[in-house]
Amino acid sequence: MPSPDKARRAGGGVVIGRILRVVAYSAIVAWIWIAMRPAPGVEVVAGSSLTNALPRWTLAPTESVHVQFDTVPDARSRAWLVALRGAATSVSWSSNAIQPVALETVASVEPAGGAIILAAAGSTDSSVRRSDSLTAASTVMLSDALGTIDSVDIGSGPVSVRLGDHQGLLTLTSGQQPARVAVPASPSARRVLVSGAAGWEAKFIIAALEEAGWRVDASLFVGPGHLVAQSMTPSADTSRHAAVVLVDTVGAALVRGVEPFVRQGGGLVLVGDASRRREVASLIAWRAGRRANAPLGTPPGDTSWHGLTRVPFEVNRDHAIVLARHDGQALVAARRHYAGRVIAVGHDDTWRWRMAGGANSVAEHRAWWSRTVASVAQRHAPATTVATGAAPVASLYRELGVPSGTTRTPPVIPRQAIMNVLGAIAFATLLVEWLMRRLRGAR
Amino acid sequence: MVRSSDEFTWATVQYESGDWDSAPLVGPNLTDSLIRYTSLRVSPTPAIVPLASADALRFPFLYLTGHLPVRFTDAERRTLREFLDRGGFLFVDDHNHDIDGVFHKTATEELRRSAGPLVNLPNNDELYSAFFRFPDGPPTTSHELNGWGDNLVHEHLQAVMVKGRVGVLYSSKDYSSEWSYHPESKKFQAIDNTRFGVNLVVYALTR
Repeated sequence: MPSPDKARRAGGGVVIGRILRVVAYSAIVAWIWIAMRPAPGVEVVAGSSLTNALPRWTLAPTESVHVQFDTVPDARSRAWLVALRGAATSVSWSSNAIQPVALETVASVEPAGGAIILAAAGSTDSSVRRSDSLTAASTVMLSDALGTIDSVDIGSGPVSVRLGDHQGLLTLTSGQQPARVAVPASPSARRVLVSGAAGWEAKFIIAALEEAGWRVDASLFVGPGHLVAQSMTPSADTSRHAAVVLVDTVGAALVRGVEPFVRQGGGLVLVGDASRRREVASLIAWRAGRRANAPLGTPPGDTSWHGLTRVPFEVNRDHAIVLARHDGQALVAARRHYAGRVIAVGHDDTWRWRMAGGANSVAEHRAWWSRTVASVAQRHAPATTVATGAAPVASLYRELGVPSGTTRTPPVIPRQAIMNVLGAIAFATLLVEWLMRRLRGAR
Repeated sequence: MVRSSDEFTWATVQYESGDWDSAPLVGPNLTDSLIRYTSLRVSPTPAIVPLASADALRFPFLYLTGHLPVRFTDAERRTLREFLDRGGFLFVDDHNHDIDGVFHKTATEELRRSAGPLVNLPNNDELYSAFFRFPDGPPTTSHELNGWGDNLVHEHLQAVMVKGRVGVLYSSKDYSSEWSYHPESKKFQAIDNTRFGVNLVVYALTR
């Protein structure tokens, strides 16, 4: 029979063994608990490493991530970061290099197709390196799938660029930051009705529009009871016409139903004196002033005259906008009227610009009239041809919020070290407990 | 510098060779007819403009006639090409009313070289109904019918088409003789023979 002292020692060893087992099991549970928890602290990665980091963060969640971007990540990566945030990972970002850039395209109504590009970019850096050359930060590059189209000088504000043919997505690059958009298909061109007294201005407006691809109906007054009509009766109809051009007061008197036409979405171009007619009084917010003649010796191609006469407008700024002004006189004004648009042009002698202007005056005259008509022409576009736009920096802010620093500091003791310690404790206590049992039996 | 007005101006072309001024009353007479029959804004004073000068581009309607051989200078050819490219309308009339005279031969050759090939204009073209109606095509002239010249009635006018429009209209019918008289003399005619000239101008202004 063991002595009471020996029995007491054996009982103490059992207690110690139990304590050691509890410690070991606790360490194992803690190790498993820590291993299953998201990694604590902030993992900081560069934007260029995001492609590798995203799957890792998904399979082994971490508590907080911070990305330092050089350029805005693509939409897929941004959506992935948003999803991680939804799965309880804190996501933050910062950048010192991103150039704000925005690009929007609108399909042109002109028969030749193409698009109008609206571009804007920041100019935070004094210069950016692009294509092995230094260019001003306000100069951005426009390219498509086939390569660089042109450089665009943004200057102090957004610019509008007209684009003809292109291939694939359009890319506007400012610094290293691209913005990409698809160009919508151009709506089908419809007819334009031109009306006025027979004369050179009407003739050459029609010629310019037809050369630009517009199909033109015309109604020209030659004498009482004598209209020269091209293709149609002189009635404006939104089912047939995208716009009406009234060349003079005679034109305004000839065309029936101008006000309902504009109200329903049609476009109206009032040339020179056409704004004086009472038939269009409810459509305008300006008054045609006194006709001015160019000084003797002014070349017909002078771009401030576009001919040798002009009719200035007194514009009610509350209801109309001035689109062109020369020598303090408003020469092009525009406004909306219900669903339609009205533009008044103070140049009614533009045939001289075409006939007697410079070497490019025919093309310039053609383009000017085509764009003037297109600016008001009703757009009958397929549903898919909506305006598209891309502003990657704005998207980044919208989806991930404002940039921030790494707000959470890493823990003093790394997570892996804790797990290693816990593993060592579990191993050591189990080993000691096993040895105690073995040694107790040996005595 | 020649300065055209905002109105339609009958402009006669002055060229270096030949007798460009062989029908000086055509301009005033046609101007009178335009004012008489239409509401067009018409300059009461016809113009004379050198073909070699850029001033020719200030008049989108030009009239060219003569009896003698036509040889354009390089500058005249250049201006004519420019004029047609920009949308101008040139009316050329053979004052000889013959089929194979020197004006016809040389003028058509020059036009082919400077403007392009001449083709017959169909007699149902809009030209013949632009204002007055001429259902049989170009009206005959007294010179065609009375045996002077080649004693032939020319069935068609000819045209050089530029960008789908008539750029040059060529006539062998001698409208220059037919229309070159003082406007006051119209009152002695049963039917005004300048009516086709009105069609020419209306056509040029509206097509």
